[in-house]
Formats: sequence, C-alpha cells, structure tokens
Amino acid sequence: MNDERLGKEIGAFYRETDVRPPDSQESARQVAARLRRTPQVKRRRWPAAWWLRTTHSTDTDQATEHQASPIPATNGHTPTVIGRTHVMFSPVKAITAGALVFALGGTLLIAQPFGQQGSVPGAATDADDPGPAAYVHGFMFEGDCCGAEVETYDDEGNRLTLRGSVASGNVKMDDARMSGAWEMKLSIDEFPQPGTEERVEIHWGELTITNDQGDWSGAWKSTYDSEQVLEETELALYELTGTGTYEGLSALLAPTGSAGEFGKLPLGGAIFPSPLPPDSAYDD
Amino acid sequence: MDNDLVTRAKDGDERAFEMLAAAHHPRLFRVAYGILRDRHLAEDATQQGLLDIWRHIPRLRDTSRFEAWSYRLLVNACYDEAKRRPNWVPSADLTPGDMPVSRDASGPVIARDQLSRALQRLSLEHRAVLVLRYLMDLSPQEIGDALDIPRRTVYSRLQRALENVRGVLEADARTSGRVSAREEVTR
Repeated sequence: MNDERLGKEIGAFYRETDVRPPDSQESARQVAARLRRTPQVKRRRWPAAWWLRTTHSTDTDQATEHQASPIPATNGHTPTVIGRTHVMFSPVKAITAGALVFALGGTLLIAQPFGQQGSVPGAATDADDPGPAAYVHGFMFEGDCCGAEVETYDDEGNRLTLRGSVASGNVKMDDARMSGAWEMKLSIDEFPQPGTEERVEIHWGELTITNDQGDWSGAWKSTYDSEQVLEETELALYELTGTGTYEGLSALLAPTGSAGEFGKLPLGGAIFPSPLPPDSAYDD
Repeated sequence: MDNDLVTRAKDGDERAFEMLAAAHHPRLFRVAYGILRDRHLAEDATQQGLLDIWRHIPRLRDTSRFEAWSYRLLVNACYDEAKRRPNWVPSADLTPGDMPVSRDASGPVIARDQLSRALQRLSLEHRAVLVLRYLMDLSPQEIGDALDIPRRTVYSRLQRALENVRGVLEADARTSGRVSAREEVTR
C-alpha cells in the first residue's frame, strides 16, 4: 500500500472515529471565566527576529501565581512575577530596522592603517594580523529561544520587565571573520505612555558570535521606532570586541531589514582595527 | 466577522474572545482528539489551547492567519497535556461512547483496530502532522505555516509517520497470520 492509499485509510479512520465535541458555547464560557486570571502578553519586538521551532511551552496555570521576591519595577507598580520556560511565539516575520545604519558611517574606519591589501574579505596577511577593516553584510538565522525567562506584570496584565531570555542560532556574513554561531541575551523594560495604549520598550543585552578562529562579544541596546517611519522598526546596535584571532578588532552591527518569512535577519556593519568608539564624542 | 473578533480580542475584549472560542472550539477539539485519542484530555487541551491563544493573541500580526496560528498553540497544548499525564495511554479501542460521525463509503481495507494500534504507537509530533494532513486536509505548506516548521520537516515527519504505521501493520499482519493484509500493506 503506497503512502497515498495509506493516508486515505488514515483519514477515513479519523473521520469514522470522530467524536461529537463538547458543547462549544459551554466550553467557551468556561474558558472566558478564566480570562481575567490570564494576562495577555503584549506585543514584543525582538531585536533579532528569531523563531521558536518545535519547542513548546511547559506553562501551566502558574501564569497567575506569584513567585518569591518580585523584581522591583521602575514605574512604581507592584509587579506580578511570572517565571517559567516560555514559549517564544513567532510573529509575522516583518521586523524592519536600519535607521541606525546612518550612524555607522560617522564612526567607521575605512582606511587600512597596516598597509594590507585586503583583497579577500577576512583574509589575514600573516599569523598575527587579524585582518583588515571591512564593511560586512550577511544574515542572522533563526535559532532556539528562550531559556528560563522571568517576566513581571502590573495589576492590569501589562508587562513591566523581562529578564533572563537567551536565544541562539547561526550567522553567515560575507566576511568569514563574523560568521559562526551566535548567542544573545535579552532584557526588556516597558513603560506606559500616558494617554496611549502603546508602551515604550527598551531592550538590551549581550551578543556573542563564535567560530573556530575566535569570538566577538559585546553589549547592545535598542528601542523601537513605533509607526513613525516603518512599522516595527527596531533600532539596535551591537558593539562587539574581538578575541582570539580577532584580538585588536572591533565591530559594529545592526539589523538592516526585515527577517521575512524564512527567518533570515539581514545584518550590516563593519569591522575595524581599533577599540570601540568611546562614549564621549571628544577625547578627554 | 472572524477578523473583527480577532482584532477585538487582541485589544483585550473578553466577550469577543468568548465568541471566537465558541466558533473555533469544534475545530480545535477535533484536532486535539485526533492527536490524544482521549475525550477528556482533548477537552482539557482544547481549553488550555484557547487560554494560550488569549494570552498570545496580541502578538498575532496578521489576523487573517488566526486559524493557522491557532493550530500551533493547540498542538503545543496537546503535547503539554500528554506530558502532564505520564501514565496516559491513549485508548486503542473504539469504546461504546465513541460515536462515528461518518463512514468511508468504499469500506475499510485495513482493520480499524489494527490501524488504531498503529497510530497509538506514534509520537505526538507524528500524530499531529497526520491529523492535520489527513483529518483537516491541510497541505504540507499549510502544516508548516501552522506549526511554524519548515516544509521539509513536514514531509519528513509525514513520511516517517506513515513508515511507522506501515511497519506496525506489517508486524501485526505477520503475528495474526493474515496474508491478505500483508499483501495489501507491502509496497
């Protein structure tokens, strides 16, 4: 019996053994009675649009239970702490970013101070040379999410904070120095905007890219350009310092577009042979 | 109508969500029962799935994708329900309480109790794709969208599930000595 025939048999079996469902109105009423104790998770904008694939929640009704030692909120509310292994649901993959790309141009080095030809991206001319400065482009691919997140909520079910989220995947750039495995740690603070339903979200964390030659690691921060330029515009900048073979190099990366339907978040940025720019515009 | 209810539910309208839940409960229960093969477990999974839908519906960007998106949460709820009951074994027999809704006019080629036992041996992930494909008539692409897995993974799971079913049926046929059944299932 081929697959098609077996499939039809299985379908017929399912239909023959279908059972009449419970009264849907009554079931819906039972669900509705629990809605008040079930806070909605407000829209989350991820700096990198990774998707949860084939993992599933271990949530139970603990969603409404208090945990010990609530994390103090920054806006005066007494939070409800919810800790669990959280399912990260995939939004429609349409996070668009890039407003910060313009900021990269003012701080990047294009010159090659060590006299390197740099004809092949990522090629070092000798064992001690981590390679030239270069603009880089590529993609961050979907991975696993989210670790043991802990969220706090206000009395109305609005999220106040998220801590402890960890995601990972692969990154492939046109410069092999920045390709490899990535891991990102994420925290979020949310603040109400009086007079609107929209909440101000501040994200921050750490990004690490690892390959056989070395690591890149550093901090990142982002916020959200809500409906001002493009919907779902994430403003993020990853500031990375190289180790291993990449000792002496730094990098700035930012999302440059939508992750689309297939979990490919485009990234752009640059590698340069100096420390990260200082926080101040002027050297003291 | 659905899009309006989904939009209102995203904004926290509990009444709208109750109406949405009532409208979609039969479909979701059908999938849950197909996977879990236990009426009470299926009802629990369906209700938990609906609660998960309520929790996460603000994140649903495209309201027209509600149905596909709801399958994902429902299937996850089925997995969780099964894991919460470590001693759970789905019923392999058709009990008097089961009420057939329809019957295949061409008549069964494979004995239904054999098929039931074969399906019982499948993992939850394999059951899920079989139910969505052969009960709900979703295409592999639609299943991939619903479960948020690549289409190649859908094809792989479908193929593996059918192979496993076929393997159990063949083993059953050898055990029972039913030569005609073995001839039917051998490729």
